[in-house]
Formats: sequence, C-alpha cells, structure tokens
Amino acid sequence: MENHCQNIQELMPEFITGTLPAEKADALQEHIGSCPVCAEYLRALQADDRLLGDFADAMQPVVARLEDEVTDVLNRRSSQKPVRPGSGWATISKHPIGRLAAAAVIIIAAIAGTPLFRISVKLESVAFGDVGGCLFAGNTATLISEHTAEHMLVFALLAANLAVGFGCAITIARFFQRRTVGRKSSTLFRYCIILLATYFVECLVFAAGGLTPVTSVGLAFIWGIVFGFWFRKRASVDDTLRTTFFVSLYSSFPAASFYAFIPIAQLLCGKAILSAAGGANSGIPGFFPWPMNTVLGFFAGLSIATIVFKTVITTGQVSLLMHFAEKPLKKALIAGSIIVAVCASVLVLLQLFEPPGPPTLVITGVVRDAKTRQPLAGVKVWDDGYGPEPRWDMIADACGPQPPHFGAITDSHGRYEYLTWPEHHCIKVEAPGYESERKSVYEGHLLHEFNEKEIIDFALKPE
Amino acid sequence: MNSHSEKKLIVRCRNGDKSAYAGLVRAYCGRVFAICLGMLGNTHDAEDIAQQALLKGFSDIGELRDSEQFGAWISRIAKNLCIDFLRRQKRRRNALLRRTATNGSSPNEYSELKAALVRLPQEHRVVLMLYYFDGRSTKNVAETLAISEAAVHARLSRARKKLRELLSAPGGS
Repeated sequence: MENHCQNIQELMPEFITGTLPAEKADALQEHIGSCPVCAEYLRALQADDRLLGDFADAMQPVVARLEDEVTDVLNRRSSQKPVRPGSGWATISKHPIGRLAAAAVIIIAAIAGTPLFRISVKLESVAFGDVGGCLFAGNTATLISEHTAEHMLVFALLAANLAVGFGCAITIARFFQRRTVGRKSSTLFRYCIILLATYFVECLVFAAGGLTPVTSVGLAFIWGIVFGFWFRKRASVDDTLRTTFFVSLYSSFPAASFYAFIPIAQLLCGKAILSAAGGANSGIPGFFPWPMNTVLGFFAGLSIATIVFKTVITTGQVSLLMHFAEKPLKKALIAGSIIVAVCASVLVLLQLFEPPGPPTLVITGVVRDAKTRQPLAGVKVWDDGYGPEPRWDMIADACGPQPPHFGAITDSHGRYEYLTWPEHHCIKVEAPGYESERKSVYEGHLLHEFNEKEIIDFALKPE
Repeated sequence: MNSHSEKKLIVRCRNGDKSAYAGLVRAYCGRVFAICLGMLGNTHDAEDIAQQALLKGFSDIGELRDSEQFGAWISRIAKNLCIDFLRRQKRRRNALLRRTATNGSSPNEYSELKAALVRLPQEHRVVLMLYYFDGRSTKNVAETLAISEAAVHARLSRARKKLRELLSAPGGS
C-alpha cells in the first residue's frame, strides 16, 4: 500500500500540469478517493501550484518595470550604430596591427608631449616660489623661508583640490549611476570609491611628486590598466568606455588646476600674463603663436592638453583592453596588458630618473663677515639638497679657467664661483665659527635669461 | 512571436534600431527575469542582473549567429551574468547572508514561499521560475534550458516535491 501511494504521488505533479495521460489520471482520481493521505498531498501540491502562480503574477509589475527600464536605458543612450565592417573604427579595432598602431600612437604622443611638460615644471616652480615670496615674504620672512612658503602653497592648493574633488564625488557618482547600467546602491558606492581613490592619488602624486606633470600622465596609463581590468565584463563596452571617459576626465582636474593656478600666481605678483614679452621672460618658448606664448595662453593650453591627453590615454587603453578581452584567448588580454604596462612603466621610470641636463648656470658672489664686512676666505659654498655632493678634493685643487661644478671654496678676496643647474634650488654657505646660511637660486636668474651669471652675496653672522 | 518576425527584429537590432529590440525585450524579459530569479533566489539582484543581461543582449547582438535562437542566446547571457555575480558574491559571503536576513525581516504573503525558494536547490528553482514566469509552457522551458520536454517534466516534478518538503517542514520558514 505504501508503495502504491508513492507511485501515485509521483504522478501528481504531471496531474497538476494537466499532462498526465487519461488512464493514469483516472487511476489517480480513484486512489485519492480512498486514501486521505494522498488526497491531502494533492491538495497541498495544488496549493503550491496556485501559490507559485500567484507569486509569478505578483511579480509581473517587477517584470514590467524591468522592461521599461531596459527600453529607457537604451533610449537614453546616444544613438550610435554598432561597429560595421569596413568603418574606420572597425579597421582599427578588429585587426591586431590596427590595435598595436593605436597603442603606439598613444605612447608616441605621450613621449612627444613630455618636453612641453618639462618646460612647465620649471615655470611652475617659479610661479609657486613667486607667490610664496609675495604672500609670505613681507612680515613673516624671518619665520618662513621661501621653500616653506612654496610648500605651504602647494598643500593649500592640494587641500582645496581635495575638498572640491571629494565634495562633488557623490554627485558625479550619482550621474554615472543614472547613465550606466547599475541601479544598485553598491554601484554608487563603487563609483564613489573609484572617483575618490583616483582623485586622491592624482592630487597626492602631483603635489608630493615634485610637481611633475609627467607623473600625472604616467598615472593616466596606470588608470587605463586598472579601469580596464576593473570594468571589463561589468557592463557593455559602451557603458564601460563612457564611465572610463568621465572618471579620467574627473581625475585629470587636479593636474589641470595646478596649471590654472600659475597665471593666477603671476597675477598676484603683479605681472602681466597676457603679454608675449612677459611669457618670454618666464621662459615660454617664443616659437609658439600668440596667445600661446603668453603666460595665460600657455597654461590654459597646457591645462586643456592635460585633460585631453589623460582622458585619451586612459580611455584608449581601456578600449584596447576590452577589445583584447573579447577574444576567447585570455593570452591576448594578458599579452596586451603586459605590453601597455611595460610601455607605461618605462615612460614613467624614464621621467623619474631623467637628469635635469648639464650645469650651465654660473653662480658667483662674495662671502663676508656680517659685522666687520671683511671677506672670508676658505668658506665652502655648495648646492644644498639638489644634485650630487661637490667633490671637495677636486674643488680645492682646481685652479684652471673652468669653474668647478655644484660647489666652490672662497678665495682670499672672499669670492666664489661655480657651475650649477639652472633649476630652482638652494645654495648653502658654511664656515667654522659662523652661522651657516642658505639662499635660493630661483628668484633672480630664472626670470631673466638662462645661462646668465647669478650673483649671490652672503654676510655671515659670527656664532 | 514566430521565428520569422523574430529574425526580422534581430536584423533591425543589428543596424542599431532600439525600437526593434524593445519588441524582443517584451517577449523575453519574463524568461530572463525567471532565470535570474531562479539562479539568484533574490528579487532585487535578479532584477538587476536581468537588466544587465537584456542590455548586453542589445550591445552584443552582432555576436548572435544566424542559426541561433535569440531566446536560448539571451538565456545563456543571463545565466553567465548570474554565475559571475554569484562568484563575486561568494567572495563577500557575509554581505549575502546579511541581505537574505534583512529580506526575511519584512514578512508579506509570499515570505514563506520566498524563504523556501531560497533554500531550494538552484536547479529546481530555475525550472520552477521558468515554468511559472514564462507562460507555463514546458516547451519554452525545454528551449531555454536546451533539454528535452520529458526532462523538463522530470525536473519540474522533483522541484515540486522538494518545494513541498520545504514548505511543510516544521520551522521551515
């Protein structure tokens, strides 16, 4: 009997569906007429069936909403046609050679762009030093050295940048969330984290990394790799590229804002920022057409170039990674990202370790006693905190016409003379029995002519 | 939708026609949602992944081969997205547990059923959801899962039996 009940119960699901053959259905009906246990089980199964049906009906609004949302998102997307064979983008993206060419163009552009950025590094340090001097030199000069003033400015700018960047991160993340696929709160959180992390790293690297915009461009490469792996397969290609575009646009603002600051700095110091002569004085190459050879024009251009450049690098890289990712072979993806990663890191490393060029600036002056005004002989003067330690053994022996590099010892008239880099740094004087003293090199020579002789006199106080 | 008009719609989709895709979405969104709900056991996540799957269907429509059924293809996309999602969830298992716990705290008339569905093996849940959400047709289920109708019947029976056990178990909710 038990066995029979079990057999009958096996038939019940199909009975509910109405797919049980008639004779079996009859047998089932007959059995449940006499077996209350099986009758009860059938009722329960039928109730389940109704419950599931009701549940499915109750979920219909969700399904309808889903349908609406999908059509909505699709309609909101810009109407781009899918890639058709033969179009320009298809040629680039579908052929391995095209992809490599695209990668090469990006990398060559990055390398070609770096000399421009090198000029800007120099100008930046001048501008920051100037404003530091203007704002702090007056009443607080005794307390704050120009170096400190410059650092304070950089960090004030950094703080302002972080405040603004973090302040609008949530708004921008909401915008992403609406624009792209995800609706969940975790998507918002993820976008926020991405935004804040990129912005924070950009700001910190730019401010702490000795103001090298090149590092910032190097970062764009790194973002490309990070985003490429992070967003890959999360959403459609369109959405990923769009998101990457906005994130990289956003993360290029710290660098751009530092450039934008320079004309303001010059203005604060009372300098003309729209005259070509002023631009030339600040070291902007004269071959740029107006208004690019003025301070405002140059840095506005540099600002825009940075934004475009960084965005293009990151977005281009992610698109390359995603095209590689579409291939069934994971090898393609790995190879592609290794190539890009190696290129990017070589570029960044080259920039980090690039020497600042030959020493061409002559620094000369006289070191005296502050009280007696007598010249001091045998005093060591050298570049402090920049470049190698001077070879004192060679300097002591040097008597030829060529001045020594990076440091000198005063002669019997208290005179010293040596060659150094025409970059922003300090020189230090140290003599036994006197307080040592530091002076900045940048304020004088960088604003006039390069290769000029810079005269820096010292008056040392006895201890 | 017959296969001829479906083919026409797909051709229009390939040319970037969104309104054509809306037709496909209408026909298949119940099925896609059912797969996601069956695989994930959570309405909220299911809706999210189903949306992703349907959008991916449009952007990847160029990859759909001519010989292939759109229904089977979009089902596979949804299934893969669910697998990805579950894999990611596994890494954050705690978060998942917390979520199911909070879901249980707001009882409605289907809370018992939902709780039982969550505990149902994935394979059973998928077949049940597909059956009830996609027009109660075993033919559709068979097409979606790429198995025979007889196999669908067998799976459906096992799923019902298992669900009954879970619903009648003391303290099952």
